[in-house]
Amino acid sequence: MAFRLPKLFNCHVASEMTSRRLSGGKLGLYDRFALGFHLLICAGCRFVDQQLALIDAVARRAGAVPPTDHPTERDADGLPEDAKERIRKVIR
Amino acid sequence: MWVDQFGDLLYSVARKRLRDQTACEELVQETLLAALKSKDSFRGDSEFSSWLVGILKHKILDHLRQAYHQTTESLPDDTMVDNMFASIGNWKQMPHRWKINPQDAAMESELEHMLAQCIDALPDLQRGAFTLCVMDDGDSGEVCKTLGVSATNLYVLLHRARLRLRDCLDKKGVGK
Repeated sequence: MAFRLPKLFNCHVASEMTSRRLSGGKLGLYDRFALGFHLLICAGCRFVDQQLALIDAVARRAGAVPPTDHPTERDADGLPEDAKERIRKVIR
Repeated sequence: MWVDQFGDLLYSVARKRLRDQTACEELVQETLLAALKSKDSFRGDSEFSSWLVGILKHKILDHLRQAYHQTTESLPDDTMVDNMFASIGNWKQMPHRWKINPQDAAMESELEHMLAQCIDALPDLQRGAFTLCVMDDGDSGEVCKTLGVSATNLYVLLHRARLRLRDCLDKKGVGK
């Protein structure tokens, strides 16, 4: 049987692998090789690789709870006043 | 009162994860009621606000479980993501470098603000997958159960969400 080289990744598949890697998914030996090779030759995918990692990092930081009980650290997206009033009545 | 002290914090945590503002208000109320009932169980080994946020996050998961109680066997196509690629799978529009200085706190804050807007614009399942897996660093098995999707589909949702977020930030002029 003749040996055939596996098909190399296109940008779509490379971005899938980049995302899978960011999600902690394990890539097989061939996938790692093919992704590494694709990133070597494709500047656009190299930028996307970095940008997706940056997006994850910023989202993770945004998701972290502010480690403080001080009300001055509140987020700008506050609970509307009418909802506060309603909750005050329920909790009273 | 707790609602004055922690209402804004809890609401902002909920709004980062759910689009429905009314649901967020209700979850804040449920959280404060639950905290009132079980305040004796607060041991003081974490900040009180963190304890409240922990209760809220459980309530958000319950809310999402109810919203996605039906298992999604196959995902619909995402034409927006598909349209980013030509038929041979290469980028239709070659991505460019973002000029971002990681030391620049103002840029970081602006990026976080824009990202929140982009997350808000994601389709529901993608938003759920991204916020639970990435923002909350949730266990993927638990996220699959909460959203009623298979592990393979979770990867697909995360891939689509990340590409949409990248595209959204790019259109907002990040790194230009």
